[in-house]
Amino acid sequence: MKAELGVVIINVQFKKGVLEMCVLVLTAEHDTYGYELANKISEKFLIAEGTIYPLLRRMTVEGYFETYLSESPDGPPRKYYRLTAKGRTYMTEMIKEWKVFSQGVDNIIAEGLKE
Amino acid sequence: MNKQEFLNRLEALLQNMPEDERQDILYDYEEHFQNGTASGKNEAEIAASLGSPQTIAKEIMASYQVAQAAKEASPGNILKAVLATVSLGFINLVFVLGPLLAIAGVLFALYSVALALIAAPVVMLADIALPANLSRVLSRIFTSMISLGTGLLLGIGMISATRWIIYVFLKYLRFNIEIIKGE
Repeated sequence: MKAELGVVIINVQFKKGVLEMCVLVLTAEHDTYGYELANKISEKFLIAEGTIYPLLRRMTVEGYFETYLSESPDGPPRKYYRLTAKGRTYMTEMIKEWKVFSQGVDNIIAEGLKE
Repeated sequence: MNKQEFLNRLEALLQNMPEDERQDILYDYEEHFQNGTASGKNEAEIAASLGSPQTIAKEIMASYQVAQAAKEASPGNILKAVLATVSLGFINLVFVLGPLLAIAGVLFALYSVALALIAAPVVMLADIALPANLSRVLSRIFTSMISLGTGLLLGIGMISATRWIIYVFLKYLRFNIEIIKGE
């Protein structure tokens, strides 16, 4: 039972943390709007796209993003997200942690399966 | 589910939020639908890829309630924040309610001690039988002063400790929301 709980937590923690990092990275080069973010992420892995917006909202409140409205050629004005300096620092930190983590996992896989 | 059904359901689920904030959130989804339609998807497809309004609303409400509790840490607001966070996943019964009950228990015990120390002098002084000898009266008065002083200090300490604990606990709730996904 205890082990099962652990697995569930790692899974959800994994998903949410990764989603946060993806959103940060996707706004690093140019400002992005919600739909574009949702699309780009769901091309790579399965998420409920609707949960991106609460995430963006929370990250904006935490000061990682600034938002502004901009007219679009086809449709309503879009809410754009711009990465702040604070957001960029946070992203760099997350990527660093992610690299250490994924390298560790890669090593474990390589060592465990080398026969 | 089409766009209007999706938006109506989400709006109903966000009833407890202030109007302007709710409209702001709904606008995000409205925009999402319009962008999706513009790129050739139909409303049912878009709604399906968004996920259920319940899941979305739970997450929004949890963040909102925690922010409210941080703004005004009344018992009601804290309770709402806890309930909203618990609703994110069954697992939070353990991770939120557990620590909360433990903390509340300790706080309650310490406040009781402080109150007892403050109240004790009343009993001690009222209990002095007249006529009493001087040393007995003085000893009662000194004990009362020590008890009252300790009680007041503990009480004041507890009030700021409580404030700090609430702050940390809300931080924990926020951290928890970031980790637990409402599915």
